[in-house]
Amino acid sequence: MKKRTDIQNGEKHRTSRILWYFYGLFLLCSIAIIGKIIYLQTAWEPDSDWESKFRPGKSEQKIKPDKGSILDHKGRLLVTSVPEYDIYMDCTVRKAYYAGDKKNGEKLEKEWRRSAEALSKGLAELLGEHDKDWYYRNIITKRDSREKNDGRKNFCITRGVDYDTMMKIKALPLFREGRYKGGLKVTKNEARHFPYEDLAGRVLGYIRYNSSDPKKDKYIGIEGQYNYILHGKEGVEWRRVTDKRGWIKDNDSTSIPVEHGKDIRTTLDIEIQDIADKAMRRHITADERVEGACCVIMDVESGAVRAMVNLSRNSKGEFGEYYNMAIGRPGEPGSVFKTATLMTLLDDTDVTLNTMIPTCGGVMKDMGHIEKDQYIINYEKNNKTDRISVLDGFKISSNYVFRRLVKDNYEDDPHAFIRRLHEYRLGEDFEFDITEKGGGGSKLPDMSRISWKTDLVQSSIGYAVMETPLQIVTLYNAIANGGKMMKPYLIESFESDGKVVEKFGPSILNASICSKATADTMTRALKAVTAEGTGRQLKNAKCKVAGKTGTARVALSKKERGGSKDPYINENNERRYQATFVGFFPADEPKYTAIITAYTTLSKGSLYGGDSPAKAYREIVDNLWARDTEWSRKLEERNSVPEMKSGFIATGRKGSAPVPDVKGYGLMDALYAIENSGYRCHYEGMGHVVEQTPEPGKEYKKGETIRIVLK
Amino acid sequence: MSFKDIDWKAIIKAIKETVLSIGRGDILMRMQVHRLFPFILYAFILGWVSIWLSYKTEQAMLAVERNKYTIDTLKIRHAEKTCEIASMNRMSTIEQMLIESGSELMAPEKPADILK
Repeated sequence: MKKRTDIQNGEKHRTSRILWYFYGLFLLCSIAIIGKIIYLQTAWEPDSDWESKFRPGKSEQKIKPDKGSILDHKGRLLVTSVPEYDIYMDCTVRKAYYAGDKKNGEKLEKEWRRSAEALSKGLAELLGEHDKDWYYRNIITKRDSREKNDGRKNFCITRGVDYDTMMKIKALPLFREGRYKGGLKVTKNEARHFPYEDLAGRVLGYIRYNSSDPKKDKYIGIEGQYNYILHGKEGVEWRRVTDKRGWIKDNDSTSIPVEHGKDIRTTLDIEIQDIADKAMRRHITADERVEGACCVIMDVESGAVRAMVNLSRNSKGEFGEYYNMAIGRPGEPGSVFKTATLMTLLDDTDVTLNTMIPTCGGVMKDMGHIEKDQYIINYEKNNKTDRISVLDGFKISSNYVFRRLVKDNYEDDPHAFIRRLHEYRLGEDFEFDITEKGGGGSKLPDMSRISWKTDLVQSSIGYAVMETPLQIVTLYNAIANGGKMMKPYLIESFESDGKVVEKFGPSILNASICSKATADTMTRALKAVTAEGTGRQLKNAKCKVAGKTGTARVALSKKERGGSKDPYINENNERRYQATFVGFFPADEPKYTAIITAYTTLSKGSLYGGDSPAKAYREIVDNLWARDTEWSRKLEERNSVPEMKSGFIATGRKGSAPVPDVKGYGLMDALYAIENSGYRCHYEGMGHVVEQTPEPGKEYKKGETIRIVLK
Repeated sequence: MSFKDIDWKAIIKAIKETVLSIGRGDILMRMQVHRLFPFILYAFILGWVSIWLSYKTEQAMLAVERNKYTIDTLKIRHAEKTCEIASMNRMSTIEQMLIESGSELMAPEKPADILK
């Protein structure tokens, strides 16, 4: 028994020892593992090559901001970004691999070339730019080239294709095998698109990215000068690879959120711009002497610029938007400036529109002028008089009348006249939302050395002063606005995702440049010009226009003048003209003020403001009037509608039927009833049946005609 | 309590006991870990849920990326179509198209009448 117990105890001890060994082994292992973990976490530094292979992939991605759009004041897209794709092909793709495969290389290379042939065919059909042989020849030439340079092996297939075309190209043979087998390389570019093509092209503008010519402006129009708003800010995002080999945003890394560009809402109305552009092209640019013309249309109440057309001739003789003359080409405005002179006279002196002055044959003898005013001579002849009213002088745009008035009233204090012109903001370039290189330069005679004989008298008729078309239209807009001079503006607001971020609006340049009475008198005078004066082209416009014509000779440069001493004429008796029509409409409740200025090249003929500029103006007025529901006829008259009969419409398909009573029916019901009764119908008029012959109830032969009158 | 007041003997004894206990293999029983078993299980489940959630989050983020790509594609198409439609909306283009197609429809000659 004792022996057995010993044996049992011995077994137990042996088992216990084995377990002890195992336990000790595991204990040692765990100590080693824990020690190793501590070492790896604290002291060990892995080899960087190995580390990069074991760590999950991570990459920094720069996120390009979406560039903002430019909108018109109704939210229509004027400029926007649309992605375009350039397609390249790495023609040497897998070439080296096939060359190294001695067993199947040649066969694989042949297969590749067959696919390239199919690709060439697809490209020729899809793009239609070249034939399939052209594509194949280029691909193979590049593939066989020994140059290792990227530029040599990459073949530019096409540039600037849209998304759909790019996807179709991707699906072509060879390319569908991906970048590393097919060699397809696609680069995406954000191209700026102008849905309305060249409409308002110079105002909307662009950036000359590759311009190195310092004489040329790099940032043109809104696109160029508000690029800092449109562009937005680039963002940075870190991305990491997931277990499923997809890339996701790595939120553990620092990222810079992208700031998309803001949209710019302008005051332009693209429909008005289109009307103006079309009218200008039809009436002004057809004249070979015209080298350029511009048009500005402003909203009277706010000063918002609704259209700004600038057409000038390029070297090929084609017209396009190349320079913003409306803000960039100051010149002597000519007779349109007489409005400022008359306004000053009405406000400062006793002169009224009915004031009579002697005509004196159109010559100011006391000034030693020998130049006769032909308009006065004609006036004297036609009216058999030697006196002329201020209004008539304004209507016929007489230089003599205005020179005489200014001399008589301001000879003693010429500064007073110039001071008034300064109040009209004609002597300074006010800040406009966009600028044009070489622009500005508006000026009035220097107050410190005014000579009444030249500066004062000349400026009264629009010479010896320099004004841009925008400044002239701003002055006329003030008259239309009852004397309140609004600052013209082009930018309505900056917007982000349709929400207004920054709002701009109307601002006042001068709350009252003249009294309300003077503004009304000026409107009367300007209405007379279009009714009976030099602006007669506008007489039968669809709404009444108050406006003024202006024809100014342009001072020539020394080079243009040659040997001539007269600054306005060259040796060959050629001149340059600046012809303007400016006004507002409807004259009684003005909504728009507009100016059209045309510039001629050196030529012998003349161009008057009352000619093509006035014709274009008329077309603009007529079209704007026809499209604006503000001027719609409101139909308020009441009319009685004939009482309709209720009940079934009588028909008589089976056998003969009496003539149905269709009085009070509409045409469709009446026709249905008559023809189903077996009769024919003849009708006159519109509305409901008020008369029918023969009377209802009688029976006639089938096929007889029933006459009905609708009203 | 000062440094001298520490019962070093007791501490050394406890360490010795613990080491011996590890050596004997009854440390867990000595610590009465079996009482904490539900909490250990709970911690294990928490760990497992955490791993599962992060896996699911990754899956969701992948789906987001795929959707983002689809949205970008749609945005491109939208921009292209908007631009195309806007260019067709030009009044003079429409007038020209009407003339070319021989239509008698012309631009209005007077504003539309409004019925009050």
